[in-house]
Amino acid sequence: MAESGILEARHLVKRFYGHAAVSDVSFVLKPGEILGCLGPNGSGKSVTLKMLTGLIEPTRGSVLYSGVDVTGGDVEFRRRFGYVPEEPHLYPFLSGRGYLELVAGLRDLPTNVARPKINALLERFGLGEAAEQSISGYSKGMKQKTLLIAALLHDPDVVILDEPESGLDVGSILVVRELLRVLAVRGKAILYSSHIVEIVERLCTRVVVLSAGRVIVDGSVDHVRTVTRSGSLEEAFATLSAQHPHALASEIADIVTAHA
Amino acid sequence: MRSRLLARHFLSQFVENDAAPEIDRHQVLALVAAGVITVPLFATVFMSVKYLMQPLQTPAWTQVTAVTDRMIFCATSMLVSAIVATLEWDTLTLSSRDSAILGVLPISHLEIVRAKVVSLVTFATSFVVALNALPTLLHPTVMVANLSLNLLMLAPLIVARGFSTMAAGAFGFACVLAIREGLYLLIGRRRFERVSDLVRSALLFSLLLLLLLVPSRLSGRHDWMFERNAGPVLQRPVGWFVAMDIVMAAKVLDDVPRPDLSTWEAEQDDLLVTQYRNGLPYMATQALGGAGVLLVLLLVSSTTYLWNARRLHVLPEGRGGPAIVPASAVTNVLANVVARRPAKRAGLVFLGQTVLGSPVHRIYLIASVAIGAALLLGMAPAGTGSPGLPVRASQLAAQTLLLTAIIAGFRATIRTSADPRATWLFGVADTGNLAAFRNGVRVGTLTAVTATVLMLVPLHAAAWGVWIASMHALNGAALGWLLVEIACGDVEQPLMRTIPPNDALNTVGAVFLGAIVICVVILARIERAVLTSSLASVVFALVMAASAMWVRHLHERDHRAATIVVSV
Repeated sequence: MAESGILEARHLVKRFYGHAAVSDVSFVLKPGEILGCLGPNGSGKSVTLKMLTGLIEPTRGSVLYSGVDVTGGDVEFRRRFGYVPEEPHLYPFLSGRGYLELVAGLRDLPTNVARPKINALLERFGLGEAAEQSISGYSKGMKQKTLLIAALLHDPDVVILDEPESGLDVGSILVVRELLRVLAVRGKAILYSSHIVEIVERLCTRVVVLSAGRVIVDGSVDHVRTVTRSGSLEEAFATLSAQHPHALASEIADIVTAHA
Repeated sequence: MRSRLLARHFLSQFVENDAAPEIDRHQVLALVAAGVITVPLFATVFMSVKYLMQPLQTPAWTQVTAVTDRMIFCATSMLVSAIVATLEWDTLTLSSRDSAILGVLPISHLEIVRAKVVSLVTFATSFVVALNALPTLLHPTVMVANLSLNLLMLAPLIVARGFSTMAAGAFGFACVLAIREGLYLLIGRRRFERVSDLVRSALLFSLLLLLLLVPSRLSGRHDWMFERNAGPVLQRPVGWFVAMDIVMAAKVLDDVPRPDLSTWEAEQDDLLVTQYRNGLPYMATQALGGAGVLLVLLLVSSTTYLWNARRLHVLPEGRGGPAIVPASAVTNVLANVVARRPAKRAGLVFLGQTVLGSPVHRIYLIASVAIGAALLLGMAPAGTGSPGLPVRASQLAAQTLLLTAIIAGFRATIRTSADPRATWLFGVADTGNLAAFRNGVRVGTLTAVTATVLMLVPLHAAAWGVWIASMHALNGAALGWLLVEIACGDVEQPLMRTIPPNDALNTVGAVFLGAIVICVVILARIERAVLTSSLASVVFALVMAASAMWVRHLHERDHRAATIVVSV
């Protein structure tokens, strides 16, 4: 087991109809660590996370959990991680509480443990009053909170989050950020994928930057700033992903105002 | 425990599927559930009257007469089960949403698939049993009410009926499953997702049309069942299951004594006895063949189902390429021709895209076109009118009824929001030009009506000649326009807001239906009278067109008044 990681991606490759979504991704996630995963749209972040969770089978490479190969998903491994997907996959005809009780039941959590936990988490996340409403009427933020509760319900060792802040209000983002810090202090390994560089900079102890399906930098936030000679992670990210935000923004503004 | 929870969850998905509009889904489901129980009950009572009215009922007469009823019960069970399976098309298998949610939970793939299969079998069985339970208990009981049968002899008749109708239901359900899974296996997931909606719609239309034609096509004698004659192709599968019922019931009815008959009656009854006893060996072969086909079908559908479910698919096939039917291309071309203003064009394109893209809206239109087509087929018998005019009023009424059914479908479509969650978009994008948007929707509906009328012209021309067909098409188009204005013109925000059906629909609806039929018959008689002269035909069409414009003016005035009230 390299660098005593709890979860390891080893040379992951994924091709869809000949097109490489992920070309070669390797990194290690350690207990008590919050690892940020950064990259522009289409860089392969979500596909990598889906391969880690076993939702997608890699074309090549492997996923190790505590040194054991769990590539393509393993029932025992699934007991030990929680996952917040990028798209809010929920059953719209269920209520928030109904969905969480279904997840708890399928995770074999005893009812006398699950019920109070669900009630308490719904209250803390501000969903207490909407708990009996059908999910089809939930806002994006409410759906995201439901997914977060579902991911944490069984006290996982590894938490994998794919843009968890999406749709959340500022207060909720702050709560989630602090929650992840506390969980990391308590020994949980957290993999946090996001577009928001500022959050990653403040929250994560280490960063993996992906571009065109490859890891281009893997190290601490300071290390990334030093390598790119940037003042902030935001600048470093722009340099690494070869983006020129000012030039691009001017071009877009020109198109928008062209016929005005 | 976990498997049961999962199976129960999958079972609830069959009820909460996309075939019913989200806003009043439970109302629709309650109506469907009530219909599944009550409609067969009414039909059974209606069909059973003839047995109670028969003063001298013999076992042979019962066996021969009951063939038609058995045909109707088996065909209905088969077709309704197939329609339900088609409505549940996407729920029959694990979706990418199921895979994404369940794929990260500590449940093995085998357990997920097993739970899905258990829920599918439970749903299909429960539905088929609910559909057939009351007719199975009632019809055989009434069928032999005048014969000397005790309860022990009645039980095998009920079992035979239950077995045959439920086997027919299983056949219908398994057919749809086999078509879906076979197609998936043959062309792969990527191509399947491109043709899936088209296949589902075509299947739904065909099945609905067949179901609506059951009463007219299956009434009457079915002597072919007793002869070494394969019978009509479409009725053959029904014949297998009817044969099962007859063969299983034959032993019981053979033992029943015949009532005292006159010599002539006895001779007639002997003929029936000979007919049905001679047919029994062939019928036994048919029943065995049917059982064999059913077993093979169940085997094929379950094997392909399990093979296709061997892997969970998390990602929807978004990169599958363009749809087989270039819906946007068709509507865009049409919009370029008939709607140049952006708001009008938006209405037309949006109607086309919603009808082709939304399952609920598509079902409304498919159902209405199927009803219209069934009426057209049922009301266009061979034969001619008077020597002066080779057309009958009922034949002229068929086109109007078809148009009425289609326009009713469009009315239901535009009264249902394309997506309740996206309705706010109209509030943001609306620049006070809703009249042009409504006009675009109206033009879309009128285009569909005109296309229908034009499609019928060659058929009418072949039957009545080009001149009468052309005049009938002209009158049909004008009448269609009037019906569109009456039925759709009052909808102020088409496709934007769901208007729930009137609570009094079950009483008012029957009155409306009766009024429509009377109006259509009167209009057909007037049209037949004006068809004798081209001038009279043109005047008739002009009167219809002027009425349409007048109705449109009234509706637009109401909409303007409503807008002013809202503004104030």
